[in-house]
Amino acid sequence: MSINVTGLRKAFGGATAVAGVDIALPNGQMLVLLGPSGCGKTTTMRCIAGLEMPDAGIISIDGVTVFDRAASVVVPVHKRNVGMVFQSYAIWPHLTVFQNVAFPLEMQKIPSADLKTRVMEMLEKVGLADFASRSSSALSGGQMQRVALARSLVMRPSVLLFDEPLSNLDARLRDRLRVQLRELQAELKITGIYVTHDQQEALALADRIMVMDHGLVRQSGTPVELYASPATSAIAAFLGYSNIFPAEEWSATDGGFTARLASGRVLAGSGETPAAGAAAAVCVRPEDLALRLASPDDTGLVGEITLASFMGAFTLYRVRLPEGEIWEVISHDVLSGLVVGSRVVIEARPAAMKLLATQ
Amino acid sequence: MMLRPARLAVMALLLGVCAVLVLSPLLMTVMASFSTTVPFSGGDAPRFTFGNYTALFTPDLAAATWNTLVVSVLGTIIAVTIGAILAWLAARTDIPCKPLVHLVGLMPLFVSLVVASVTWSVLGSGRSGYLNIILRSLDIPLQLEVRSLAGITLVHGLYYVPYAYIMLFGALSLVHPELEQAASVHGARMSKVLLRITFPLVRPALLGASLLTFVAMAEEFPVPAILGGPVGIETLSTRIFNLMTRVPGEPNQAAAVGILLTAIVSVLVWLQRRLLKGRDFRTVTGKGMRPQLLPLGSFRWLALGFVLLYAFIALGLPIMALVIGALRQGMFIRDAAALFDPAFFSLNALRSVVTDPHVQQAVVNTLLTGTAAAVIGTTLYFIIAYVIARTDLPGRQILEYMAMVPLALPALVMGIGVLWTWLAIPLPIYGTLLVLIIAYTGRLMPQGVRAISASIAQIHDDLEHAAQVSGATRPRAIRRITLPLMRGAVVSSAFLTLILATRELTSSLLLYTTNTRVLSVVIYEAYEQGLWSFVASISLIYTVLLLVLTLIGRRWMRTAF
Ligand SMILES: Nc1ncnc2c1ncn2[C@@H]1O[C@H](COP(=O)(O)OP(=O)(O)OP(=O)(O)O)[C@@H](O)[C@H]1O
Ligand SMILES: [Mg+2]
Repeated sequence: MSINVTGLRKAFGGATAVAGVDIALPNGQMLVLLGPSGCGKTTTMRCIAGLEMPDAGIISIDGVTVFDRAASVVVPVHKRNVGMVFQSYAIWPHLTVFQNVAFPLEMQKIPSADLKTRVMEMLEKVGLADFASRSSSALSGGQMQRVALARSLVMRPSVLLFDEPLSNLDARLRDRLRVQLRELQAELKITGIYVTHDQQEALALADRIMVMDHGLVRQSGTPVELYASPATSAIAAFLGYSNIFPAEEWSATDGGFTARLASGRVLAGSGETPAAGAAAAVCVRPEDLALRLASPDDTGLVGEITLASFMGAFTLYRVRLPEGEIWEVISHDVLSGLVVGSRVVIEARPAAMKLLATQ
Repeated sequence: MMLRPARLAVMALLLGVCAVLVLSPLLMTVMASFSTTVPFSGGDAPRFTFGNYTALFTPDLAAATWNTLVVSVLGTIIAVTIGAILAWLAARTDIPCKPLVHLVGLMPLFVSLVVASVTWSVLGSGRSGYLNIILRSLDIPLQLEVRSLAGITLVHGLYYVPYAYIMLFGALSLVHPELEQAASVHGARMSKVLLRITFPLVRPALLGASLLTFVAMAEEFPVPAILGGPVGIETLSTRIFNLMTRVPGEPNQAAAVGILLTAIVSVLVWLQRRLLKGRDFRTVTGKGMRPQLLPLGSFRWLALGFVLLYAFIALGLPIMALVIGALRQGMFIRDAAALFDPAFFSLNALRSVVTDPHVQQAVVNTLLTGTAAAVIGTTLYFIIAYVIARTDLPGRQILEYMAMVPLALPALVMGIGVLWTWLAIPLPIYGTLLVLIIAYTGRLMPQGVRAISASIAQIHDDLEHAAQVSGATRPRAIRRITLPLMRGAVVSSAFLTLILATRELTSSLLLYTTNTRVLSVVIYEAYEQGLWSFVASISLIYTVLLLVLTLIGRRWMRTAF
């Protein structure tokens, strides 16, 4: 159960939605597509499902070619054995929960006794066994999402596609379902592609992450790889680097860089640098910084706390420097006694500062 | 997803069907209007000519144009005024018996205009008109004459109310009550609020409804034919019909007048669609806020009185006239007392009509053609609406335009065009009921496709995609998911098609043959021969039939309004 996509392209009229995407996803792994709105994530998934006819490319599922423009191979949607959880859930309101989940098995002409056990088994798994005979139009958002999941899983699809399945839910429900989803995926060894806007969700669910922009793959790798070394500042922004300061000019030094910001501040860091002359930005994760109360003779990143937002396990601070930059810092020392108005020094190790190309 | 050849074949088939149903009638008429002979009729070789158009410039045609203008403009004013008042009462006020008001606003849509005109001519023309007898008995020195421009205008005005009612009801339901309340807070009286705020807000709908009504009246045939024909008043459509059917006929000139009328109608339809672009009031109703109702206070019962008065004039009087006409024996009626005297009543006329094999045949024909048009038509409308909304087949745009062509085609032109098309096509269709079904299906296409499109648009396409992903083929997904979800809209469209086809006269009159007469044609012909008690009996049956259909369909049709 693997997916291979090469050279996938799709344009609507003149507008290119997908401009050459390659995916190689081995069995049992979860790939998360991440990227700004309109970058072609949905279109890529719909091409794999067969709901959209690509302009070019080859798609194969489980080693079987399901689409190849050049060879005129087009396997229709209903024969691809792909499960899909739609952003709108697409629960059929005129059918009961049971009938919704049974539909894919009916299409496979599964005998009714067998069908009943499989549907009930699946409803059990998503915690909806008591709801089987309920009308599906009277379900809550979270229940609908689970019906949609059960409906996709019951057909034992080769691959499962998720298009922002949690985006319509409130934060707590989202957190809970995300964990459930990861458990189910591991238990059933699902090969899947998952689209989201939410970095937390991406990092939590993915075996691999692919960042897309303007129809192209900008970077792909494991969550840890991407988190540790994003290729550009735009990708960094997606992965939780909330301190991004464009450099007016910068130069490489021995094993690191110095960069001058618009405010005139000069920052230095270590690590790789972009190609000489490229537009770049200094990117820092808030959890890689630390705060302490400033004494009068402190220099460097000295500023005033303008916001302290207690999140439980940590506190998010916003610090304004006299030059006007605003820095975000996360501190796990919840009893530090720092309050809004405190004068503080931001401390950073050189390795925390990354200089990344903006494009 | 289909492969290329299959996609092209589907589209070609649909375009072909639409071309035969709606485009060919138009083209045939255009051709005939520039020719010396009827298209493909054998006979002489056709020659190109402008003669049919130059022959238009006669005093007769000027008079017909003027008459058309008068009855349509005045009729529109009456119909839209009544419709707007009813719509406002039903949508925005606390008038008592609201469902009844709603029913009164819609009901005339299901009254046959043939029956209405025939009945009004018996009610209010000459010394023997029922109303005139009553007026004389009451010593009121006033006599009605509905066989006149004023009469045609009146009947138009009374029975075209539903168009304005439906559109304005939708628009008025959407006006946010706070807009009106703000005006009241700033010191406006109720009448001022209405004139300065409410009606200006729905002005596009008001204008749209007026244009639609005007178009329908300008091409209207049965009313001017029945009320104007006997006294020599011609409108453009009766002129076309007279040119077609007199001996010797002038079919090419008739075609030229038809094209003239089509041109006028096209401009108005285009204007109307531009005006209402992006505002389908019917599809938006039901969403959003619940309009706050305006308390009418002591005017409540006055308002209800107005509604009942309208219902009495438009529906009550004609039905009474039909009952009396069907039951009463003997033509001569001395005074009002004699009019209602049970001594003269008998069931003989009704009995003979019910047992008349010609009438029985006509009832069967009517139901058969109506049902077939409803089933075939709705299937076709669904396919067209689906292809336009849910596929990326090439040529969808053309299909959409084609489906709307009949809006601009007057019923008479449609009739003539269908006649010539099926005389030309060497298939044994002309002279059968099939040709009537074809005419109805084509004529009712725009409203059917539009109603179904509106309901498809309300169903998220992911629902169907989810079925396909689950292993269903596209047709199966449509059958199991999309269609069941749209059942209400499809059934309501089918019923509306059935009823409108059942009350159709104009194109039937050009297309029927001895064995394919429908009820409206039988009534029209009997009226021409002056058989009043026969006409009344059969009209009564016809009206009851339409009423029953409407009541059966009402359950589903509510969703359409
Ligand atoms: N059916 C269509 N017709 C025309 N353009 C389309 C169609 N579907 C998508 N597009 C365009 O293709 C581009 C990519 O769309 P897509 O839906 O794949 O984006 P996305 O990454 O899923 O965005 P989002 O995160 O907002 O869902 C967009 O610019 C969109 O406007
Ligand atoms: Mg999307």
